[in-house]
Amino acid sequence: MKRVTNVIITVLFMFCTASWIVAAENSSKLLPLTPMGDKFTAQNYPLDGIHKKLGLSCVDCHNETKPEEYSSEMLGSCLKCHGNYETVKERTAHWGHNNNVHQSPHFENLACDVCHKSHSKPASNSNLCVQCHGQKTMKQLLVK
Amino acid sequence: MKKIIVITVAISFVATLILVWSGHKVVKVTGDAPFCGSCHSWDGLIAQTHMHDPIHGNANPKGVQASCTDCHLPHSSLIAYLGVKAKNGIAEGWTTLTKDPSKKDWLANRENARKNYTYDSSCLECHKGLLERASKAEFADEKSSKMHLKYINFKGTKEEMQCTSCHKLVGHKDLGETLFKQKDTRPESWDEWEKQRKEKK
Repeated sequence: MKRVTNVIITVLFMFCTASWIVAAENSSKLLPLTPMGDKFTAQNYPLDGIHKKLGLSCVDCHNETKPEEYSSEMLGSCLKCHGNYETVKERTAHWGHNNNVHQSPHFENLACDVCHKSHSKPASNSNLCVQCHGQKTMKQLLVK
Repeated sequence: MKKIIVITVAISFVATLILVWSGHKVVKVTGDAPFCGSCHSWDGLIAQTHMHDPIHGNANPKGVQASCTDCHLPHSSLIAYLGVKAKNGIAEGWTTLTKDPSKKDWLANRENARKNYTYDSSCLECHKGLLERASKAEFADEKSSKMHLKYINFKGTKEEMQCTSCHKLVGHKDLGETLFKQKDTRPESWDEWEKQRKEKK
């Protein structure tokens, strides 16, 4: 009986350790979810590319009221400037029917933050298509 | 003596009127679709995308449209307009006669066209009050005002932008898609695939 209990405790302990390691590995690229002091500065949340050039401030994009509540979904504020999904689709149509990332036959329109993470430096390379598709052309699609 | 002067003045007057009228007519005719399409039939698809454009093209539901030279020639001054027109006309005429359109990378050329052949002065010719509006306090909350203020502030600095830096899809509907399809021969449906397979045999 004692031996069985020992085995169970050991397995549980190993499981906990393993999942902690996996979580730590995967979260090392994410920004902290809970505020630790004065974390909401432009330095901690940098911008890149055209958003940086235009000198956008936090409230230019984030519709939520408090910085602690800011999310990457931003209550849909991307379309405030980027028009509608039709326009966005037209922007990437020059890659052709097979590679137009904004005209997927599988999703009608995705939330922008599924792929676009503006505060990652360099801008996130999370290409959703390659999670299933293996074509060379799709592997070359880079998220701006 | 007096008679000669009067006749000279009268003939000069009439001649000037004819010259000015015909000059104006030539400039106008060489600035719009039938003429632009005559040599540019080799990039006829691009002209067609303009015809389908619902905002600046022939598909505008209110009938308001921009002609080719309304955007693709500078409107900062008459000299600039006529000068660039003459220069481009000669250069493009030469290219039409000597080069092969099927070899040109039209998709890559879009950026060149946006940067070098579309002018801010042309946009502002119709959208006249835009920049003034951006500076007015009562319109300060409009999202366009915020961005246009940045355009104004960047002007003359090394961060200077053009209208087409942001407004990239103006005037030619589905241009990227159309140009891609022009060169792409892959089948898009099962029937097309079957047809190509049979033709290959």
